[in-house]
Amino acid sequence: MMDLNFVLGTYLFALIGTVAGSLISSLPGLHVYNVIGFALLFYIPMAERFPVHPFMMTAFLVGMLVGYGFVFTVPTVYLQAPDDTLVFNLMPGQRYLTEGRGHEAVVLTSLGALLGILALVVLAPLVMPYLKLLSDLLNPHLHWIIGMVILYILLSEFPKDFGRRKKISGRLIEGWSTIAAGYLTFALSSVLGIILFTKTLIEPSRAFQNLMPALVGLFAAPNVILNLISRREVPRQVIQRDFDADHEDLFNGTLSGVLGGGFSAFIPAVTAGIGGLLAGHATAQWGDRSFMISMGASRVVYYVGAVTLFFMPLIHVRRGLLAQNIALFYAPETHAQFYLFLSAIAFSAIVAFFMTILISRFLARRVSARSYRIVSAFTFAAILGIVFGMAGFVGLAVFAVAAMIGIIPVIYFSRRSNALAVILVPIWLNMSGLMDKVVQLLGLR
Amino acid sequence: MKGFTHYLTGITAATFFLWAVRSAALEKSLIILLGGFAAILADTLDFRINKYLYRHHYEVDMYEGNLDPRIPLNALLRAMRAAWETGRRINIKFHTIKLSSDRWRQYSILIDEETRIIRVRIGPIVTTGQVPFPGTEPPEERAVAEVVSPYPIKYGYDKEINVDIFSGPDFDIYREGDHLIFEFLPWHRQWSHSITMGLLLAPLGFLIYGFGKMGWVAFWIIAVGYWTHILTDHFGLMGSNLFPPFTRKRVPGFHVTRSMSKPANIYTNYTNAMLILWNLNAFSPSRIFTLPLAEYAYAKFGTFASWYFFGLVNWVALFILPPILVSYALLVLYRRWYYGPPEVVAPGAERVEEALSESEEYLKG
Repeated sequence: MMDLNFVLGTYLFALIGTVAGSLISSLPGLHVYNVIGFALLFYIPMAERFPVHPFMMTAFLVGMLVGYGFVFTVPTVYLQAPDDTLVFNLMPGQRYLTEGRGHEAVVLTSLGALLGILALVVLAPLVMPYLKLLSDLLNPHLHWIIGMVILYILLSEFPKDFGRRKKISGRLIEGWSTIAAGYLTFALSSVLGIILFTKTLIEPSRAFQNLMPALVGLFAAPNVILNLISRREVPRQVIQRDFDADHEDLFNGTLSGVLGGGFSAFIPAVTAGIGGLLAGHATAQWGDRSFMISMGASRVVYYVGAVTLFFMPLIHVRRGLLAQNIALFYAPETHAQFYLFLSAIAFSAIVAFFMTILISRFLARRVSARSYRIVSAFTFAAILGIVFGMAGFVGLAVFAVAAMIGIIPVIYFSRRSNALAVILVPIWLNMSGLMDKVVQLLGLR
Repeated sequence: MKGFTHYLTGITAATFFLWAVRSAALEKSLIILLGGFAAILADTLDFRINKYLYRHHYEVDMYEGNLDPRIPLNALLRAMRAAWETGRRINIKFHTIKLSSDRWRQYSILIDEETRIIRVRIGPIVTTGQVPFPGTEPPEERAVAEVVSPYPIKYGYDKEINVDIFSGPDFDIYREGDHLIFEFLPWHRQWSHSITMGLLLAPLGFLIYGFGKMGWVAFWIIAVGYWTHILTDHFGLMGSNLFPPFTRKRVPGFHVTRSMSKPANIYTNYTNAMLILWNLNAFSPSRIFTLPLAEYAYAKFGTFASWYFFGLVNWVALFILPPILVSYALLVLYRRWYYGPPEVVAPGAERVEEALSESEEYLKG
């Protein structure tokens, strides 16, 4: 039996974590994993002497993660600075923002996140007995499953051309320019990822921030740069109380979001954005509203689901950075802890949902009050500051390279999912046993 | 079916090959991916290559500065006259009007088979999600041009087609007897969507894996993966040209479902995922689970084939069919309760929706 103080303490730490995570996530370009990395750098050496129970520390960290899962939608929509999991939300978010409905986009995505958490909390105990079996079954096949995702990214982009040239060769060149730009993005992101996975460019004392500048450069920076130079203006944002989403949008969005997020949480290297996108294709999803709901659900199920796998008794699969970090100082043991963990997640999700609405309202009123170029300039300065603060000058250099790669799909209207090769390809090469050969081929060793 | 559904069906087909699964598990082989590659290739060939090889005799290419409904209308009439007088297939392409990265000018073409009325209407500005901006339409007198076709028409598709986002539609027009026939996206689902093409591509397997056992496995994975695309497409309406160059026209589909149908895609993908799991377990060097019917069959017949076959029947009966049947029954009941009896949709409208949805799916990503 757990005593009441322990349970209340857990909720309190989850609450503090959620509020902290929500506030941190309002900043563009800052991933909560980076902050958690720094926090753990101080906490782990003194974990045994720390006056707080490790489980409560875990609740605090998970609260931060839940806060991030919800609130990062706000800078994605208003400042156009997503991370790798929200990058697909950018287009509909941009559309809603230019129609003065940015708040609606945020609420729809957050609603998806809330429904995703609800589904996770309800389904996790039900699927728990089968997950160990599934894990044992799929483990020898992960290399081709990740390869399957990569191949689909490469094969499923089709030309967005208009074929106006007279000669066939001219039409082919015109049509293939988007695909070629996509493949170029994929190739360059892959090489960048391989370098970052095999070389320690950023010193470990900076809390293992090796990938952070690349991810910010690839996903957060390109649209901010484009907004800086394109004189885009944002109209006054309407903060409405009613939203045009029916129960089918909610059901369809949640279904594909939970499927995509679950797949991403279970399969290494696959992140929520691409997982949600694949699930959207698999469930024949259609429409902006359903899409944004699914992206919200996919994102939280991916982040929180990965930690949930770690807390499942007898399974303890360590997927995602947070689970790997928690494993350094805490090992969950009982079913009671698992259920307390689930209830803390649900509690955090409710808090995070309302935090998102509050922060969205705050930003909605301000984003159109001044020139969007100034807003974008501030956003870009914040991103630069965060990258420099987290990863120093080398981080800025990696960021610059990644931003140049990330801007290719923005200019050529090719898919941004190609930039996900920065994570997918190195992990796939490792799992396929091909990394050494490729590293030698690239002259990196 | 959606591209992902084709892809996963091809992957599923590949997992039915014992040596593919074994070599994936033991030697980190990627041979299973050939199934997915082959299964998505038919649409890749059409939308990445074939559409550019197709010759357009007439192209309608308006821009925001010369919006005039008479331009597409006159071009269409000229194409119809050419087809009527020459007896040849004449293709006409309607280009979209792009205004910015997320803004398009919509126009529509109405072709009424019964009254022979052909009408072009310049519509509103729309987003890439085809959401119109009210009040952006030109005034009625400058928006519409209409004519009665001088020739009898057999059209068979949705009366009105919108030209708005990405790449616009094109038609082949040809004379058959005393009618002009309209064929929508004539380059789609022709030679690329054929049994013949699957056979032609299958030897790629030998190129990758040599002429040994794995070469033959790869050969059949490519062929079967490719054919799964043709088969799943045939559950729709449009059909495919199955045996070119021996056949020249599309064979109509089975009319079971539509490519954009949610239940069809979800159930196909669910079945795919479950079959993959069964095959990975059955063909793995060390099995994780077994089923009562499989054990019974093995005890009775003593062969792996009997274990596999009866196990598969058991797997389908327990884990694939019941969830599909129960959820489908619930879905039908819900729809009847919420929407009332289903509306009857003209088959032509469904065909055009199927073709358009396929092209838009790949473009939107």
